[in-house]
Amino acid sequence: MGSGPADEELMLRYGGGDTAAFETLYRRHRGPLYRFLLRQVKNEAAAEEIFQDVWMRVIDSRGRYEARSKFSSWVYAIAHNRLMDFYRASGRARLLDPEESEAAIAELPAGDPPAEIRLERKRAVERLLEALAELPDAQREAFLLQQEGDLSVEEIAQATGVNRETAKSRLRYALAKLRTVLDQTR
Amino acid sequence: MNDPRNHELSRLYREGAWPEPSQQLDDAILEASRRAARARRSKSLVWRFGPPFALAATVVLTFTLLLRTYEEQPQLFTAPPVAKRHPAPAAVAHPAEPKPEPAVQPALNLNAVPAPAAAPALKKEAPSAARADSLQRGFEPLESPVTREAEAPARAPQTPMEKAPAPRFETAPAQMNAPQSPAAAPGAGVVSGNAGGVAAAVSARAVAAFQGTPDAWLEEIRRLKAQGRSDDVRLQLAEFRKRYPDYPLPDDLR
Repeated sequence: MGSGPADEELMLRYGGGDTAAFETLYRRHRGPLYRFLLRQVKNEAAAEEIFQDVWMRVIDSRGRYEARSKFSSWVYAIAHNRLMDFYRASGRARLLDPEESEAAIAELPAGDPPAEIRLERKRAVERLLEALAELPDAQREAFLLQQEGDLSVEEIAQATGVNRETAKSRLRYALAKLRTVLDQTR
Repeated sequence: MNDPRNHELSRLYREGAWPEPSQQLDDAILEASRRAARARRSKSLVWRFGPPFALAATVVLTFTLLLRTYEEQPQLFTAPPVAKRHPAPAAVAHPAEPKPEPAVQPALNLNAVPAPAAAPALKKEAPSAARADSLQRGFEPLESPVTREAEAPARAPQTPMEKAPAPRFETAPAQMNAPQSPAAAPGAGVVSGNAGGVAAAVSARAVAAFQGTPDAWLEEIRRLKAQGRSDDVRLQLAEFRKRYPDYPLPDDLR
């Protein structure tokens, strides 16, 4: 996350009225959070709406915030809850269990066979993002929380409201599927 | 999780497109954060200064009310409990009258309940007693009507002071009845002999009940002095000094 004051300290300072602290905090997390949401909802307008809603909740909570856990865990937990609302509203509430995930991996589109040894890097990235989009929501969320939010397994579990094993399993399945795609592109 | 391929995966992911929120969205969120902070600051000012201000206002109001009450009714703050005051010493009794016998002193118990025969007994009071009574009445317009009726036949001609209204003097009913006790006791045939002590005690208590301003009191003492009632003047001056030790006495009353 870079140098400077910790996120938690910045949030506490903002709770005391320091708007510059919030700005620093926002600049630090705006990109990752936005990408996390965008890759989850796959819709720019919806992502922006949820993104704004998450930050407004952060702003509203400034007086009650206590640095009990990482700020990023807290923010992504808010984002997770907001995503659940979005999924429910859009009929996409299908967070899968690990068992379901295995089936999902089996159904993974084969994609182009790795006929060429050297694939363009760009194509690899595109395939990765495509595969990411095709992941079950829960697995993709776990992956994005790790990549964008820089959260550990424990923090992913905390943010998503599941136990550590579930979070670990989701992340493992997500990585396995993406690695498969990555291997296929080589 | 520590598979090297995961690192490669992560690196590849980060090479992808990096969509970011629009500038418009950034501005909206940052403006909202500033607005919220401003609202909190103004709210916190109220919370910070509200309670001390309310406390200060309460103190000022209370002090003002106390001061006003003190100015209007100083007796609430200065008058000692009347019932507990010791009777006036025999030394301040009228010199022309015989000093009260020691046996009479206990009878000056202010808490004594007057006997039904009190009124006839007081009719026989000596002039000095009547004077003391008149002094008392001059200070006590709110005296008990029962006592007033009982004493009326034997009362000496009213002095100007008695006739003059004295609206700022008052006394408790118990105080009015107290002096009747010694004379009312059965067999108290030396009423006139006790009259000096009784008068002194009555005067002392009348003085104690004085609730006017110091100036009004001094004016009253001057009036007594003009009438030649030196013992009453002494008595009241002594009481005045007790009550207002720091109040400068005018030269004519020293």
